[in-house]
Amino acid sequence: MMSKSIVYIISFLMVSPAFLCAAPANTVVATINTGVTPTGVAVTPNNLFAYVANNNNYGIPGQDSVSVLDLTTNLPDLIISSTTFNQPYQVTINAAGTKAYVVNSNSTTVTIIDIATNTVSGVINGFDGPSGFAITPDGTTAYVNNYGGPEGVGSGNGDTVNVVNLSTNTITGAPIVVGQAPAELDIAPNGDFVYVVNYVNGTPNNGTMSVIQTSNNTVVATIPGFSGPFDIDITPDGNFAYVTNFGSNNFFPFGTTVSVVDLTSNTIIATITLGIQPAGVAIAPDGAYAYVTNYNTLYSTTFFTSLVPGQGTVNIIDTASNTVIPPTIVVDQSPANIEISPNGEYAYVSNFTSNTVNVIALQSFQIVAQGCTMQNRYLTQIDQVNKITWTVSGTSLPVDYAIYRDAELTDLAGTVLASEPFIFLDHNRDPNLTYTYYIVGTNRVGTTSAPVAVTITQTC
Amino acid sequence: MVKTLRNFSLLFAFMPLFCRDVLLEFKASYFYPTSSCTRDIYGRGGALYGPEVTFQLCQERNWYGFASADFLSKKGHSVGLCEPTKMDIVPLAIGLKYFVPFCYGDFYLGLGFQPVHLKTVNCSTFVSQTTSKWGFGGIAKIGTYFDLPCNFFVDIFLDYSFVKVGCSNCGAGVTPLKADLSGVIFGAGLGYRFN
Repeated sequence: MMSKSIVYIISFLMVSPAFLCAAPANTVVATINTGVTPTGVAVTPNNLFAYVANNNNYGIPGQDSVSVLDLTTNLPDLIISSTTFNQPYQVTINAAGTKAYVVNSNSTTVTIIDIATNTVSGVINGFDGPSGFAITPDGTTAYVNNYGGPEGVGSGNGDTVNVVNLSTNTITGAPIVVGQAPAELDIAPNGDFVYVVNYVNGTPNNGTMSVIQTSNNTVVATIPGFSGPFDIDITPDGNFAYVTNFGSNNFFPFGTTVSVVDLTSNTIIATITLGIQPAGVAIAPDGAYAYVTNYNTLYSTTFFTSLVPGQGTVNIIDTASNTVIPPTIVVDQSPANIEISPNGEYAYVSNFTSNTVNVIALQSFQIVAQGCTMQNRYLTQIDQVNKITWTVSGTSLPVDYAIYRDAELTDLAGTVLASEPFIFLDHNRDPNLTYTYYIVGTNRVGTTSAPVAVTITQTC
Repeated sequence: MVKTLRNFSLLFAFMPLFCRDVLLEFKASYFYPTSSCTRDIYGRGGALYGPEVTFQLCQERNWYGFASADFLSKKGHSVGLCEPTKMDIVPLAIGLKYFVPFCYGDFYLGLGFQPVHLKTVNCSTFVSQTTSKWGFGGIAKIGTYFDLPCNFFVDIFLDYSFVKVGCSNCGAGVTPLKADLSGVIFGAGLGYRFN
């Protein structure tokens, strides 16, 4: 028994990216300093590093940069500075994890970073205030939306998407005309369509989504009804897109909703109300939850000269029911963007005002449990046994499960290791009582799930 | 239990000294529990074997007394979690038989009092792992002694035992049960007749 425990602890230490104390899911477990006004975040496929675009919205000389965060220690690793950066806004890492593409929102370029050396290896020119960069699943092509910049039509006046050949790092073909002020874009998992959210001017129901068919790079549909759409993420099955309606950043009304788009019919099927100014959205790898940052920074005066950052938060949307579920996660000020690690263990929130990235431990798995009661009958005695069984799905699955007899999680009935059958038997129960159990899973990084309640009402 | 066995042994040993007709046999039989709960745990019964002495009561030609001690050991599994369990049964009996002679031997009917000792060993830490207790019931007997040469005989019999045994030292958290050890016993014995 002791040797088993030691092996378990050693293996836990060896596989954990960072030795963290157990933390409940959906809580901030670390805060990492970044550069000035961080916006876009991208995590490498191996989950070891995050690249953060420091937008330097204040124009401080020399502060346009990309921070590299070491996710094993949750500390800044280095800051990449380059004269090619000009208000870097988003970072996109290719599937191979070899290159990071940084869109420079105040210029016409995309900077390419070689991840192996963390140096700038190239620049792609010809854009106009690019604010989003999405790579097709085959890795050969990228789509870049032009929000508009000072060297072109002006910020918020762009209306095109460029196609980039990633083998030559050049723009191919003519720009694809979409709606006004394309703020962000995403590609369907099968690569057939690119979805571009067009901010327009932030007024209610004025924003649109353009659907580009990648086989011929033409817009095949335009979906109306958004309110200052700001970010988009697509579920892993490709069936739905979640779009944040940031609303206006300059005048009321500000946005408070997320639109759910059915991508088979290209219609909005749900509008979910959450916090103030939903900005970034990221969907967990298993598609179970969407995480939305509420930027919550407003101009307070008539002339919009004074920023008043409120408390930044992150809301969780259950994608099965399209409802906001607790908790509301408190983060730093002006959370602009959110990215989830490929293994689903953590979310990284860039806080525009606080110059930080919050690390949120996620519940990357779902436990579905059931229970029944039975008699274990001997010749002269009966042991009343409650039997709890469960299944788990998701990513970064629990390494162990704790079964409690109370909602306060003080009466531990027992634990089950992930290597064991997912069955727990609670013996010597009173057959005249109704029991409720609470199952908590803990994954390899110590994130504990919300308890799953099981009330024993049936006989096995 | 030791004391009871000792008393029975004494009865077996000294009874022939006082009686005219004494039949001593060793029986082997099959015990089929009539309780479905017992069968669910230990299956459809098992071998029961042991000695029996039958002795003619004084001056009464057809009335005999009898005393017997048998033993049965059976392994099984609990109903529910299928955990291993074992029972050892020692049924004792004392009673009367009425003999009806016929040309090849004696047909008999009998009725007796039956103390039974039950010991169970259960492979679970959530119940009492060992229970040991006496229960009391009765036994009805029917059979025939077939005479063999040289005072030997064969006993073909069918018994019905009715007895329940409670739970001793059942721990807290379990529900005690009375084990129903009733059942049909049929078998044969080979013995020697002292007369």
